[in-house]
Amino acid sequence: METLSVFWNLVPITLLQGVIYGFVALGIMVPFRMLSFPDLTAEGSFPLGGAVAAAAIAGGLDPIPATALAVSAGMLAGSTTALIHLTLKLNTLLCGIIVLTMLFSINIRVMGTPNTPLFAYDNMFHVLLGGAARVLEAQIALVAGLVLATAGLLFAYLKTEAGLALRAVGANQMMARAQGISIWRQTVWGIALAGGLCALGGAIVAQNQSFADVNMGFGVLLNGLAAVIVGETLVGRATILRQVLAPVVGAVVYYQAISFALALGLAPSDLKLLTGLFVLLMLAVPSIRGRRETLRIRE
Amino acid sequence: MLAVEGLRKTFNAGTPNARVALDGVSLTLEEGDFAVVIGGNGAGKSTFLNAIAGEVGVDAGSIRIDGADVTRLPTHRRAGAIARVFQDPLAGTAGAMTIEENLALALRRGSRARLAFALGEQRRERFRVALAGFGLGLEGRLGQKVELLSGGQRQSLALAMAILVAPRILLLDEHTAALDPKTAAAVMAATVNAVDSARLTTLMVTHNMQHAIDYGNRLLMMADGRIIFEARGAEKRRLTVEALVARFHLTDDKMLLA
Repeated sequence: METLSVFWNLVPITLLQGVIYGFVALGIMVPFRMLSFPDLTAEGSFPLGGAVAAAAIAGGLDPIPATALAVSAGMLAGSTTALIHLTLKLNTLLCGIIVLTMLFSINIRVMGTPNTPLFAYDNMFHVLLGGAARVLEAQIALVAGLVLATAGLLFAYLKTEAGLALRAVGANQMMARAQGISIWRQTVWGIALAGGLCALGGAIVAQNQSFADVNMGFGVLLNGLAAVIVGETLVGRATILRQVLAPVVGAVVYYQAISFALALGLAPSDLKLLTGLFVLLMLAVPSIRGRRETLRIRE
Repeated sequence: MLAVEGLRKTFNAGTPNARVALDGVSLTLEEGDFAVVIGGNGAGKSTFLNAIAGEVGVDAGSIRIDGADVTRLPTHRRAGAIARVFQDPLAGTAGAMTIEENLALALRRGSRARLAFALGEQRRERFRVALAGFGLGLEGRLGQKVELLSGGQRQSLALAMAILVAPRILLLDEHTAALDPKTAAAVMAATVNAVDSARLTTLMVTHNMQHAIDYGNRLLMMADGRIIFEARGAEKRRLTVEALVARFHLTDDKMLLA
């Protein structure tokens, strides 16, 4: 019973964490599912978002423009990964590793130090919630609204002609070219979009916890991937609506599951092993059943 | 219309594996020409089509469409003028997308994709009409994913996409070769119907000698990267499979499977 009460007490704070990481899960879904471009940049663009937002806020910029700046930085990071892949024809995973490693140095340059405290400054929650800035429920409602609005916009975009062009590149490049779609343009834009979403997640986390740390991205990719997989198991991915809702639902459920594991008494440091094993298991199930690959890899 | 001048292409140039795929190919297609290309394996037929489409860059020569030089343009920037159906039914369609989404992409082939919803009732009606002619019932399955279709259905969809908006040039790359005979005949009939009714300028590669005899107003034979024989009009109509085979000592098994 104690486990349950510990878990129950953690539900609200975990819910906030879940909806915030919904942005990251969306940013991971887009390359993996829409572009068939397995991308690791999230591991670097997430702390980049936190670092840029923190440095900008500490430098006197208002929280909202600071957050927008963080998103732009994330888009730039994503574009870099995409351009390296397109120009040098390197494996997308390697491109991501190169960029996320370089971002570690850049993130420290951006902040000037490995971490930046923001306790002394107003953040986006103060701006958007005013007096309710420190009310957990208000924070949850705000971020949940933002992440659902983002998912809604993404869903609508993927149904436009431009969105169809993006998806065609992930589905069949030969066909996409034959229909007049530029592989370069769509890949750079799609991976940039993903980088922007991950950076937005990082910027919100930094403002919510009132500090940014260069190590805040460690393991975020695998968490996000796990969230996407959980979401797809629960919501499915047969339609675009489901494919876009899955990461958000998955992030919320995944972080509750993590919280439950903590309540059971697991050491936080064991969670990465657990998450890794979970992702491995989920990826193994289809291949054991002889179904097609869960993750398509680009040549 | 289409003017190809002295195309040359060597794969792996400067290595022991160098292979001359195009050795000075020139061809002019007039508006409404339906040219059928035959030739053995390695004759350069596919490279020729790939060069016109932009998938293969050429070493020398020029490709003009309606007078505009497209030789150095990538595939996607030629797509406004060129539609293509591949041999592999999987190649011309996006399996992870629905039938109507594939058609919506084809409807905007070569135009800048807009930030407007890709599908509306008006477009769906147009797609139903375009698909109904194939008699496969695809018009009632617009919202289904293409990966659920059979090879023949997928190839029919690829053809429907290619002709949805009349292209300046239609490239058919052995597009019935991977289908069973009955389906191949149906897709071929639909192709000829579309080409005739819209008077599409068409370049079709085939291994099927009977198709080469039966269809088109021009016949081109390729060997070793060159066009070695051409027949058109009345001369083409007099050709028989036996005559072609005898005359050119075609030994390729596939070419005898007419």
